[in-house]
Amino acid sequence: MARNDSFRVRWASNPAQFERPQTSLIERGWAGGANEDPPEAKWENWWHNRVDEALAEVEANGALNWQPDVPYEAGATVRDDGVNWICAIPNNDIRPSGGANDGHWLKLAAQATESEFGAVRLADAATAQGLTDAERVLTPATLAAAFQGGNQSLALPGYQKLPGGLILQFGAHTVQLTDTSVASLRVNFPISFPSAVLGVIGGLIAASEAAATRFNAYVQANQVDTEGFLMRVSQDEPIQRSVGLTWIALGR
Amino acid sequence: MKHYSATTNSFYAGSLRADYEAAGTWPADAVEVSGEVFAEFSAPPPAGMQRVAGPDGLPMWAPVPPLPADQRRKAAKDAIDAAAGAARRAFVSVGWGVEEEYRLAKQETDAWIAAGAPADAVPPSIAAWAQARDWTPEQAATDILRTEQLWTSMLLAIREQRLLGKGAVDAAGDDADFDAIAAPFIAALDAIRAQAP
Repeated sequence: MARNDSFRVRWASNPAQFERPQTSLIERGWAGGANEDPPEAKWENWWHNRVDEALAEVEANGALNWQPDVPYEAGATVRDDGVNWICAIPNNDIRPSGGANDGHWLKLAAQATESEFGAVRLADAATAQGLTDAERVLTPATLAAAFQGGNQSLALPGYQKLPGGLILQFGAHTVQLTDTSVASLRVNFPISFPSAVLGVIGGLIAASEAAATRFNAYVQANQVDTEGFLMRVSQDEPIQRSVGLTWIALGR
Repeated sequence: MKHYSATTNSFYAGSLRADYEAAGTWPADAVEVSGEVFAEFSAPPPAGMQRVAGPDGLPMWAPVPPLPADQRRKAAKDAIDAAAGAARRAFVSVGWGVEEEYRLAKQETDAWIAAGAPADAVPPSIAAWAQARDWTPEQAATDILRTEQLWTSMLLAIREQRLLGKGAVDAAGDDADFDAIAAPFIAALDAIRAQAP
């Protein structure tokens, strides 16, 4: 059966026409039978009103108001001081908003923060890649995604921005040498470093030590900027050769 | 998305735009480019080309300008020096002090012959060479002098080609093909090298 009313209107609340019966009567309930007194209307009203009040609490807050005499179990949720609390340590008579609460009750915020428990939303890949959101959480899948997208190009040349700001870039080149003079090769980074280059390593690719000793390659000092760098390559004999170079740059 | 700036002739990752802007390095003229343009122009350039900003503000390949005359001239002269060095090494086994050893052997041989080649006073350099080859001291002395003479004459020939070649490169105008001018001298030096025993 569908319920069509909320619990906003409580039974016997206006004007208030109820009275709490003695606890013994509450425990015993109506005895029934011809020899017993019929229940008084004010007691009957009290019982209806109590149930309506409790259901109104659940309806509005998702939890009943905290009561001092309840032995709360771990995981129980109550309402106190305008917020909900979850029971972490079984207890009774420790008010969540009171000074005696020493980790017995944890405050539940609508949305989790660094200091409060609450609901959290999963980050999507774009949010993960933005590396700035402080409200959504990562899963293993979005952790991987955070390194991908625009933060990554695994081609050659390519780059990788790491969470935290360090950027790696890498590539390979071939230089044609014709004589023993030093050839200059301007390497453009795949993308500009936003702020600074922290280091560039450039070296030869050679098939053997004998081949490697015929060549010299180095990164030219004072010729490194956020857009690229200059490599200088030479050999010790005046013949035509192509030399393979590979490089890695770190920056931010 | 990747962006390209004609001013800096560089690519920018759109996803890092906040980083560039925080550092003040996002160029005002950055334009979005396709993945194809980024892939082509972030890759190494074709031989003899370099990336430049084209008239449309997008990257293009352009020939690498020729090196200044002084660098091309130095390269040609270095090539001559390298050929001379290779020819010179062909006449003496490579090793520190080898030239000094040759000079010492020549001096001792000259002195021994001047003294009438006394059989009881053969200098160590002759004795060692005679023993190595199973020759008489006279045969060893003759060989030392012949080798030294060959080496000296070849050194002079190498020196001549080297100085003439570099002189020719120096004398040519700035727009000359220095490699072509150096080529015959390098060929002559290679021919001298080929005569080495």
